[in-house]
Amino acid sequence: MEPRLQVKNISKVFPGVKALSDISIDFYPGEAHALVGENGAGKSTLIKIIAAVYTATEGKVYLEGKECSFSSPKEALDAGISVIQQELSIAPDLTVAENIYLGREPHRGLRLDRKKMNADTQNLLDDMDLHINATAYCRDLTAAEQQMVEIAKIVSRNSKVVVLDEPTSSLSEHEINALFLQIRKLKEKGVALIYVTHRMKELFEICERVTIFRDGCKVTEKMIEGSTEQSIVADMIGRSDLKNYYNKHPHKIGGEVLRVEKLCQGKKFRNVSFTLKKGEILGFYGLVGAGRTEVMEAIFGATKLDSGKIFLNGEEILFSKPQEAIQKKIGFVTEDRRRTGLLLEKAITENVGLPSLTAHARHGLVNFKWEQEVTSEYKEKLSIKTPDIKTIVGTLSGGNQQKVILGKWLAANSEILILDEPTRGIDVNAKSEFYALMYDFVENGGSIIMVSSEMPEVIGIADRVYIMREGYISGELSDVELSEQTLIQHASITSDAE
Amino acid sequence: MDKKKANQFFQENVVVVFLIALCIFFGVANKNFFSSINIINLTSQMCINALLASGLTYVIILGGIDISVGSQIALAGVAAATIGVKFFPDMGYGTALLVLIGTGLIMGLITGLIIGFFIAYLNVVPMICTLAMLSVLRGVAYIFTGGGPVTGLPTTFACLGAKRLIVTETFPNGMIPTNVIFTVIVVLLMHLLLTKTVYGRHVFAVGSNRTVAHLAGINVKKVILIAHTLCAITACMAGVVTCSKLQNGQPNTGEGYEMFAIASTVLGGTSLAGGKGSVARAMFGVAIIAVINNGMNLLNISAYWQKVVIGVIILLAVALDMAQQQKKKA
Amino acid sequence: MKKKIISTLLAVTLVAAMLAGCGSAGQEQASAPAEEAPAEEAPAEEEAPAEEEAPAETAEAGGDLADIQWGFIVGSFEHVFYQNVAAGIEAGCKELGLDESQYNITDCNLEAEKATNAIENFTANGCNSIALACNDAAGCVPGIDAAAAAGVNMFNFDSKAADLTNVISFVGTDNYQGGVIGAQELIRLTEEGDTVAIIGNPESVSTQDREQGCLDTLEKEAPDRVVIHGNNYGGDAIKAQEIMETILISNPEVKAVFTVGDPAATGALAAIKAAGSSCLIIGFDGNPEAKEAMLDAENGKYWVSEVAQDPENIGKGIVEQMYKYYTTGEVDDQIIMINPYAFTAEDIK
Repeated sequence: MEPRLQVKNISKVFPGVKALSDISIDFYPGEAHALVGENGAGKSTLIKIIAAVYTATEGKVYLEGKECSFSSPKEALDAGISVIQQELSIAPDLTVAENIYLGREPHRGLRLDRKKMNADTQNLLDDMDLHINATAYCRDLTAAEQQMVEIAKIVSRNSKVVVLDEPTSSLSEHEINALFLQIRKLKEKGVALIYVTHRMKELFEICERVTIFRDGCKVTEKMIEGSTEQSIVADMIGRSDLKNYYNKHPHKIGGEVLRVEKLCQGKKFRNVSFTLKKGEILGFYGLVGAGRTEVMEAIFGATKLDSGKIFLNGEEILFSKPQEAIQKKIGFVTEDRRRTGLLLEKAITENVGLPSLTAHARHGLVNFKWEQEVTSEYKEKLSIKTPDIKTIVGTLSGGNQQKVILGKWLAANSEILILDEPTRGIDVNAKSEFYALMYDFVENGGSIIMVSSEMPEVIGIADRVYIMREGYISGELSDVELSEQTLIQHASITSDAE
Repeated sequence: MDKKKANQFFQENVVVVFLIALCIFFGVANKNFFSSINIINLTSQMCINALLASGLTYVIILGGIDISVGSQIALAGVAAATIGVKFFPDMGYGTALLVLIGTGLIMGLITGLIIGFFIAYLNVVPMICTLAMLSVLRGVAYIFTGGGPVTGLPTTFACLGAKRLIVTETFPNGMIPTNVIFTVIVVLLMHLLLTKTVYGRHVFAVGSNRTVAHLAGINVKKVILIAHTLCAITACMAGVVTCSKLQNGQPNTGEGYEMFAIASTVLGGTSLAGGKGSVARAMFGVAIIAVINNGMNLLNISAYWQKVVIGVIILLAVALDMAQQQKKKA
Repeated sequence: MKKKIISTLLAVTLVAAMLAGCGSAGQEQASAPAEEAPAEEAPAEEEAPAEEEAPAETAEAGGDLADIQWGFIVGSFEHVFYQNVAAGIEAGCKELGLDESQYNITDCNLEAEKATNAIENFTANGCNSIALACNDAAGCVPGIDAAAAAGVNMFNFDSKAADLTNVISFVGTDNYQGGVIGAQELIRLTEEGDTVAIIGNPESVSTQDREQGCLDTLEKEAPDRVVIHGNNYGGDAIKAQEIMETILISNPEVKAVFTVGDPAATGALAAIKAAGSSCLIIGFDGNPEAKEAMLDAENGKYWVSEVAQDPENIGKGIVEQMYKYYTTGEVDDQIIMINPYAFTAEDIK
């Protein structure tokens, strides 16, 4: 059988990171091909290259044997490559028909042919056995129905290739079954499906073939039939000797510094309790959306808790704003440093000084001398590679930007650091440098909470790990219990978990 | 790299170059342009816009805007005049100064806190909030005065707007207008507040990235509230200067002044997207607008053309600002 | 941040769209019946002989006083001048013994569109006569024509409509004559060969007329005077001050200035005092601030003369004509000019 879509020797380099290296995969018509891997393994990047959101640094994409050179997602779409995103791209204030025909409305001259549009849509929906009214407004539909509208859109376009990026993340079991029914229909029509998921169960239910990604590389490709869940997970996490790379070494761990009890916040997380000890690196593992970041934000006072207690060194506290947490020497290195961590257009000095300006001010005046001294100090200590401490932060590499954020909180004399995905998007050397700095910090009496989705990092660095799943803590693992299997067991929604 | 630096230097100083070019042009076109009296007039004419621009710089750095400054001028002016006429009809210079500056401060505090509260705490979009206030404040000024100007002020009332110090033989009316001295002091204070204090730093931080600032322990809402209050205080100071200059409170003055002030601020390199700006550089923008107005008046160019020219310059300044931001994003 | 800008822009666009929407709706209504109206702005005086017959059919002469329902639209309540006109109208109506429910005074913010809306409202409320100030001379005509076609007796005061076909009577200041008086004062206060200045405001018809009257008279009666034509002050005293400042730099020898409005005179006064000039000021309007300045020992040295309109008599005059037409079906004349007059500090005392 001729492959419908081929990617050949695709590589993608972002400044400082190689996101994909030399990926070649064939996708066949009538087949669902799963892409699995940890967060940051390169699945999304590949999808975006296929959909022409990104351009590959090297390599080519072929559709039905012809080379694709799309300059925009619109061209890819017109050529027959549709993508259903994790977040739906439905306009809530338009009707179902308007959404399905968005951008290619049937018309007579200048006049919109609404009658034809609605009739065609209704026929399409009926053909698909969907009980949705073509003239209903999309905001009145359920999440699952909206997803069906997305699929109807694809069917109406006669797409040749359909990419589904974690399509089930917001659906109930029942709704998933309805979705799978439509997916099977698409397969019968000979569409080539690319299916990205974290859920092992779905792989076996709907897919024929699977490609496993790790660190931007294709590890292996195999048929689902004859594979086991264990073997796929094993391929996902790899077998390299991780502990050396992280240079884990024993350090003194003292008494409890932070304890939280039964923290709750709406639908984000419930009954989260844990403790942090002095000198400890405490890992928080879980899938994206498990609620880890939200817990940290609430502890830091950036969002409000519904209920729960927080004890710092035995004293009950509750931060209503980050200012109070900073005064109690807690620092928060956020997940997305460009969006929430740094003033990109400002100098290193201004970024480093920001949280501590008030504390070091005299009569409300900025203490420029202190600011320069402390920035120079941490530039040395953290070996931030820059010619000048006045350099604009946005021009630094990812690793150096991350060090500036670290320096910012060290300059604020933080004793507890919350690091949310601290090494995301920085290269291998910068990662290992960053780990060394984390050890320095805890060996000097600090404590760290590290939120991370990278399994090897959690295993390699953390002294103890909490695992979160769908808003609650699903497990706690000590150093000796830590392994890929135990982590994924607690974190994933595997077949036996449901 | 050198070419890049030279390019950057030109981009950063294009206003200065433009200002000098304008001065040369008008100087050649009219011999009176560089006369000492005209220079005195020019500096004096810059005052109101300079005061407005110094405060607007703060809110624009925060990514906001205040288009009600013109109405604030009118309201503060009639308020000061009314207080003067009603309570201090025989005031001396000291009392007059006190009435003027005191009214400016209090009116600025009141209007600024109201505007700031709506924007910072009720999350009303600044453009809409101040659009509403533009109408409300102008209306109040008319209600306050019953439509006509507030008159009957003693000559001492002119101390802040029309008096000139240092009387010499060549300058029998004095050399340095008091409004210039006052404006220089206020602008200098506003400049130092922005560049040297923790508050100023916080303004830049909030303007650059609200989330980052919030997570760095900055009280974002308070920063916004204070910025709008500062803006209103400078606007009301401009109002009392106007009122002192005319020796009466005119409820219809200041209409459309926000346009000139915003234009000056943007010409001075303050980005409408926030995060970037300078009070000192805004003064170059103020000078450009004043020179164009003054020069065109001297050349007796029709007021209609003046409107066109000023509008085109504003458009170019904003387009330049946007182009630079696009470049940064790319 | 980007989101914020977008939403701000959206909001602005929305507001603009709303304003534009309202605007165009009003205009459509206003322009519909305008097709019959002559397009050219012929001077209304010459058309005057056609008076009285044209609209007479619609009028019910000799009606009962209790049936009167009158609407008045002044330029803007924010201007002292119109406040005084309104006071004159009110006084006139009271003298006739009209009940307060029988007449209504509103303003139109000097805009033709608002004036048209006000006419429509009054018509809908059953007014049998409407009088208005046409600050936008041409813009008000369609509204007047439409109301006249609907059987309303239309009157006009202060600012003349561009086309008086459907206007029964106009009562207003002869602004051109005001300019003539201003020029005569300039001539009286200066000597042969002196330099004089005018600060004008071409944005409104009445101030344009004043400027023209002054210029024409100076040319005719005193061609020896050097005339400096100042720029448009747009009704803003600060702007007038800047204009006066530049005049004093280019022509420090200027002996007297005629301003077409009191705000301009206020601005000129500030500029003249600051520059240490002895230039004299002739204001226009006769507002309280003018009288006050002229009586002031210091300011009175500069602001020596004022051309005044008689707003209260304009108000009373239009009421008088409306009443005459209501009772007899006739008016004194289609155009009734109330002459402005000049006064000095002496006259006030």
